[in-house]
Amino acid sequence: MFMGVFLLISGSFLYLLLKPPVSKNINIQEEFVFPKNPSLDGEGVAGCLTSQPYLR
Amino acid sequence: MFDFPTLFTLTLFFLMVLFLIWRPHGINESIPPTISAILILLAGIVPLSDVSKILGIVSGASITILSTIVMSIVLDSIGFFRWTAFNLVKLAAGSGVLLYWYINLLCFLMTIFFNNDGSILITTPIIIHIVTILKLKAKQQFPYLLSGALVATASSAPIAVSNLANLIALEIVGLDLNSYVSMMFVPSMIGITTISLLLFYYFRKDIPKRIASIDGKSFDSSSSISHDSLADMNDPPNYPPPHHLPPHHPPHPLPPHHLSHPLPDSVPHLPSASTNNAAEIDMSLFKICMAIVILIRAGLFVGAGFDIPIEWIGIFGALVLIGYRWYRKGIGPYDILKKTPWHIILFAFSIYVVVYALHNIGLTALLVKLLREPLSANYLSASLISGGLLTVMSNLFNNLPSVMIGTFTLAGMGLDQPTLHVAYLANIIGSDIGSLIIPMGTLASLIWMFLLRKNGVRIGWWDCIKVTILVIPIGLIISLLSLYVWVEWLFY
Repeated sequence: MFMGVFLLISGSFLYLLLKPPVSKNINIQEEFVFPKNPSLDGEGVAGCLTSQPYLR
Repeated sequence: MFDFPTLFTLTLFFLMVLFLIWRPHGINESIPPTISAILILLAGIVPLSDVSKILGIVSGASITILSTIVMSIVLDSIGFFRWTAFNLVKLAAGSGVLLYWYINLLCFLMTIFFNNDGSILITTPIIIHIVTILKLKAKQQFPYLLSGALVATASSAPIAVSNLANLIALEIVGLDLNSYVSMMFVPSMIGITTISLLLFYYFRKDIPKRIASIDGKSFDSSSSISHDSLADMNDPPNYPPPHHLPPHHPPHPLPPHHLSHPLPDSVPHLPSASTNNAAEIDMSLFKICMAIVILIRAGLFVGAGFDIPIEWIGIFGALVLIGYRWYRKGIGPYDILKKTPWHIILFAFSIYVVVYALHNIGLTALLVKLLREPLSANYLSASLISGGLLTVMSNLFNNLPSVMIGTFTLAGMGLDQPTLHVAYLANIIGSDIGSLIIPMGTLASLIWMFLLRKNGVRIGWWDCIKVTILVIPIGLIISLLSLYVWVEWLFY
């Protein structure tokens, strides 16, 4: 019982940490890797996370 | 002074530990124990008639760990861990302190749901990626990296199924999974929390108050970065980023195949143009896989209550995930067969043979003679002596052989059951938490150091020891005292 509750709560936290940032099927390559906002291509966390940070 | 079997076994043991840590030319970690085990069997120090008995003890634990490794490989192949770095930075909302706690939480949960070595392999590249893209200075990166590794490794203590050594030792003393959790969960969680808090206090000046943040409720093309909140944007990290990667590779280098002990050849793929196959977000797939992982983990404990061998449940979970992926993505099981580190069974078996040889030449009898009286005085002595012994042994010889030697010693003492259980659980605390003082204490720590080096992060053993020597002993003693109080209060 205890482990069931613990794993359910832990699993919910893990779900939050791992879940993709959108709630529907979507092609990341189109929407995220090449963001339309050019400011994201060069600098910043979003640009780094969705492109190739070491190749810029 | 020593007869031949003693000298032979001790020499083989020390050579095995040396080669296990050194691993010249990146040899597979199962090779040194296997060679040692073969020589011991040939010399007759462990009779061949004991082989089936040893296999019976180690196979269940190894298969259980293998099944969690298979599950993490399946999940990784469908991009399960790809968004973690992004999510952590987003959740931190520009706070370096929040990021510290989220990283600790991630490492804890990954070990709880998978295992300690898999957790290190999956989370270390994620943390390196985060601190690199946030352009933190080396001094600012260290708290995140070290705390993540320590928490990931220590978190194998609370529920037993996250660590190969714990499971084998569990088999030896005949403690069931639910009894283990009821006695161990609270003390080890107190220890892990203490370590996290102490690390936070130690690094309070190094953890940046503000880091880069991601604005917006969802991450889309209109998301923007608060550049003004970046931590020292103009002061780059003290080490060069790993710019040697060829184009269209994941942003962190994969660990080499030879570093697979007892680890999956699996790392998370962060979003990139190269991951075409996994680039599609499939939320229903993600949710169902997540549910399967949670249910199977819970099933281990439910099954243990009905005397169902936990390895069967582990195998069932792995097969369900493989089957579901096949059904949804059309990907068969062949990649899993190829990537799974099957040698983990050989590794565990060989280590056990070597430790069994040490038992046969009288090492454990010597420890029994020395420790039986002080250890059996009361539960407090049992906890402190057993945990302290394992801490020393783990930091000298690595925790896997040490925990087996320690468990053999306890089993040979003829202790009453309550004292045996307290001493055994203290053994595990020493092996999982006390072993973190020196990086060679656990194979997960050694793998972590290797991953850092491969990513150009220059953190030496001494950098770690300067912190762990202050933090780990306090966490260890608090855990051992908590174990004593908890068990005496509620159980015996």
